[in-house]
Amino acid sequence: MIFILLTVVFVILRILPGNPVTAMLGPKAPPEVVKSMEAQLGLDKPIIVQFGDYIANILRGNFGNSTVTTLPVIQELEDRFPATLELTIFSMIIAVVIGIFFGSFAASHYGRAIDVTARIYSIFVYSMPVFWFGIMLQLVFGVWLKVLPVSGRASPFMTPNNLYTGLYTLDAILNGQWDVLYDAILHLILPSVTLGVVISSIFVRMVRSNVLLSLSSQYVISARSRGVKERKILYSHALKNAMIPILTIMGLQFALLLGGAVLTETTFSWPGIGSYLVERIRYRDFPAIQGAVVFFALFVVAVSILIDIINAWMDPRVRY
Amino acid sequence: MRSISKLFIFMLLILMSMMVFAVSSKDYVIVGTTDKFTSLDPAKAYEYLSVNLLQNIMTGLVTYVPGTTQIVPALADKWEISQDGLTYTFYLKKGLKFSNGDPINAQAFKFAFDRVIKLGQDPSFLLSDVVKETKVINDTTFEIDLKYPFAPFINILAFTVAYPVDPKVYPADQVYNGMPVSSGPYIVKRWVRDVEMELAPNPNYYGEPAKTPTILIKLYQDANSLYLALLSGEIDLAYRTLLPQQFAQLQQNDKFVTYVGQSPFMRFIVFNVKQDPFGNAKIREALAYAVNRHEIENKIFAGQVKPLYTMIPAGIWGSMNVMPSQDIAKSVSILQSLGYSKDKPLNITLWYTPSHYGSTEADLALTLKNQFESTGLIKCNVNYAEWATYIDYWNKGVMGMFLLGWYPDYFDPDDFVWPFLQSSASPLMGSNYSNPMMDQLLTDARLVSDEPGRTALYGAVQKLMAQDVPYIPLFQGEQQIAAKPEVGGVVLDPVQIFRYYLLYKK
Amino acid sequence: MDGSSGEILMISKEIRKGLRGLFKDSSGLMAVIGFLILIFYVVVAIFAPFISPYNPTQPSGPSLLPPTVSHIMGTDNLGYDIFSRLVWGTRMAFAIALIATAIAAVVGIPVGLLVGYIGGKTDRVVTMIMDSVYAFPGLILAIAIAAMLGPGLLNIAFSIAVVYIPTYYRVIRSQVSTVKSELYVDGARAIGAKTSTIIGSYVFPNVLPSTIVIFSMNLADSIMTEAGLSFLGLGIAPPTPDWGYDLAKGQQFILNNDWWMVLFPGLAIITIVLGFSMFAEGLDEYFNPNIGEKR
Repeated sequence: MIFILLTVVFVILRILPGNPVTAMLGPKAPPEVVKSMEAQLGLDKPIIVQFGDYIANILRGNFGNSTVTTLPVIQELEDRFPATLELTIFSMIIAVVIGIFFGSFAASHYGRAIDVTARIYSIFVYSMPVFWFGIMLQLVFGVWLKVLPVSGRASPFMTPNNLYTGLYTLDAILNGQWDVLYDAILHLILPSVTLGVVISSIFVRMVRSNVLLSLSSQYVISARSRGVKERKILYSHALKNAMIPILTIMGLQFALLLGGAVLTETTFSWPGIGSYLVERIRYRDFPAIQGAVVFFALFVVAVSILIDIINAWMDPRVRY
Repeated sequence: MRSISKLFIFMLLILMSMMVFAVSSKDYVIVGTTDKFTSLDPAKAYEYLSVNLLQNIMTGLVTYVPGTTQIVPALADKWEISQDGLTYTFYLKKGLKFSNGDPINAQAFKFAFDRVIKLGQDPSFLLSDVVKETKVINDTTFEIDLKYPFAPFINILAFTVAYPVDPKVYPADQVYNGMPVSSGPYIVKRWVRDVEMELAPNPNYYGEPAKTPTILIKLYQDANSLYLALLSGEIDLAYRTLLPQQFAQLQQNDKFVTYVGQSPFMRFIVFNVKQDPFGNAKIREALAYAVNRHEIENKIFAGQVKPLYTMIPAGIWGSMNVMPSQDIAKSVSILQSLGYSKDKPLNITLWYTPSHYGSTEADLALTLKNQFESTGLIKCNVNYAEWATYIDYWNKGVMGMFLLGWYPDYFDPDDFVWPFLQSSASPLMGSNYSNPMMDQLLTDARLVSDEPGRTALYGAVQKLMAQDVPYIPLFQGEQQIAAKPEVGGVVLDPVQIFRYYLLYKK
Repeated sequence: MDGSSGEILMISKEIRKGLRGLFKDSSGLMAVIGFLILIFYVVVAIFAPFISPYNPTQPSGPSLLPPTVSHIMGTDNLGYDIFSRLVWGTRMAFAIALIATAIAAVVGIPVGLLVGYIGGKTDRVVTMIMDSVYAFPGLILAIAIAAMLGPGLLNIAFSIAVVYIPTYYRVIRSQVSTVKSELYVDGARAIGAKTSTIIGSYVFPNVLPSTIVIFSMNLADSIMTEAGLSFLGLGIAPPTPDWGYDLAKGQQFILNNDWWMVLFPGLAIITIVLGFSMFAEGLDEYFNPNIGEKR
């Protein structure tokens, strides 16, 4: 499947108008320099050969060098990956937490006001453009109330001393820099709430319907008739059973999350791979664009494999 | 559970309201910008911020007196120019060292110059067009031989392309991406790409030490973020680029000081004279008559640009207004005489690039479109391409009429006319304009060495340009800085060099 | 030809029964509200020239006017009336959404029908390709394609369409796989009916309800994606009224407290997407109710 994805990416990126070499070297470049750069980037070889090189290079982890900064793309991706990862993790946490609590609460009060609110919430939030929501939050919390920062990962001088993982929150803890941790969390709040809330719409729906499903199962009906407290039923049985599909849902929504991350990163000037992609598209930085898109593909595949593994481990019914 | 999360949020809000963002102190100045920079290698640096940073961490043979266009020695002690204007001999100061202790000598200069020419990057033409050969006479004597006498050459030497690099660190055959080796007031202490850069004093700098030990340059992705960072106190100074409406608000805001200075940055419309109908000078003239620069100045830029009626902006000697102001009647009569009417309008497309010149560009294109169409005889479409494609399109002649901008590489009227009007240079600008009379005037102006003589020649150049109209100059920008009142040492420079080493906190 | 008219009668009776049930149910209600919202916007789109008070691509008042009587949603920084721009922008929203979804459906449905019916190796290969594209973050794919092709109505519609082809394919194909093992299909095959007839008369009508649901959801997504593309600067060239473009422009003025430039385009996008989503959701729940919900 990875192979197909990579092929699709390759096909799409080669219909590119706009010569990346002229963009990189500037309009004043003499033709010989342009030719040699094209040769260097391998853009003058027949398309089949280019494709072969492309696959071989990816397997080797060589994404070429950015035409804008001349740095290896793999290094730039590595530099920016932790930012996207941190945002993704926190957003997912928020989405799942809202989803579980709101969804199960709504399911256990089926038909009542809270349930209707949940369904309206879910469909309304899903209809909201994530960047519009982000802008609104920036306005309210950053401009009017002035309580939260609206861009970037850290205030000036507040980057952790040693970047072990690149995740500012984790690194701050590892460095024992509590002020940096506080600052990093503050910067994370608005972007991850923006993305997390929008994704939570799907979680709320799914959790609600899953919990409804298990609440009507035989087990629950018999437990109820035995007089077990409603709360206990909800938590110990219904929720637990709903957890397994939640992991799968997380995997399925991950792609959506990444798409939303691109918009969120742009809105909040978050220096991750999403904003990297958008930025480099402007420069027609071909190796960088290709690298970022391939990277996203691999990221999605890796997460789904991870989810499969966790599922197999958690669910006794699944046997490979 | 939902009440717990409510409590958590509430506590967090309390904590946050107690937090004070980055407290300013006298030891550092934090500068915010939305510019991007990709390389700090003098052989490659060509964008504004790359050049600006290099001007603070490195220096060259000569430099400008801050706030003026006067050239004075920097790393050089003195220099001689031969009678025929072909040989420049520089005598370096003694005992100069890079920040890592390696010597700054004639060998370092020769290495740097040769390297620039060899690598062929963006700024390389500045040297390779003019320099024939470089020679090391001895450790402290460096000679440059030119292909032809070129009066503005000394200005090119003040530009970053002519800065020395450490031959032991910078590879001769490729661009260098590592930590820069400094020759100027600051070294790069810490560099988090695309996020921030911290400067610290260079112990081996020959000149007066920087006024503030630490400078932090923080990069923001858009004007809104920069503006908010300034308002919230996160940065001390914002330079490039706030939106016009934001700067206007800051000018009214007592909590901040704004500085406005003249800028040689100019904006104009390019005509590809090889594309129909722009090959016809009368059509270009008619379009020029339709432009209302004041509307652009006020509506889009809140009065923060200056209408420009020639290709040499105000502030550069030799500038002379030659283009007409808006005259719709004149435009209409020219078009009618060419056979255009309401039923048979002139169909044109105006191109722009949406982010390279800021987000005001689309509005600029739309306003011009409306101005052209107000003649009633023109149907103007608008189209855009991102910068990389834009360059490609103008090289390939896809765009017949497009918006472009220009920063001078060196401070001389030649740099505002030669690249545009000389027949072998104009294709690089997408215009393909060619007039042997113009070529002769431009070459003569380069060879003559006295300013009055050159001024007269450039006057003729501008008048000829107004007749042929291969470009419509629109406006020139202004330099804008907004800062906290306690920041001092802000010098607005006609050459647009922003010197961090002069900044201090009162 | 003769047999099929009987089927059409059967199907329309089903539809009528369904419509009646729609109003009795909460999910049905949702579908109806969604539908009404959509009709509202369709009307606005069709009658835009009459509803819009000003020319949306010409200045009609002072710049940055807050909402007032003459300009009920205010003006933008060039003096264009925002209300007029939103009204005309409806056309762009529908145009792109419909074209994109149509392309995706026209490619995805027949492929799904065919491959689902044939099965076997073709099924496995095509499904693998479709699954790969489906798993990929849609917006990123759309960004990459739109960036490559450049601005233009068709280019953007195309880039959005590519992302949704697998959706149609998957649902149709799985439905077809189920249906093809039904008894009546076997029966039809037994009496010698052509493959195309089987697919056309038996399989497709059963697959139709899901198609409508997906169609509606994809229309919603298309408008969202297009807004996202415009926001990133990859959308339609100005001055054609486009909600995403206006939203992006409004963002630059938000710190000047010119809130109306962001609020109204945002609300427009939200409500139309809401309309499509409610319609799709409602229909979906109506046809496939969740177990455990009272019906």
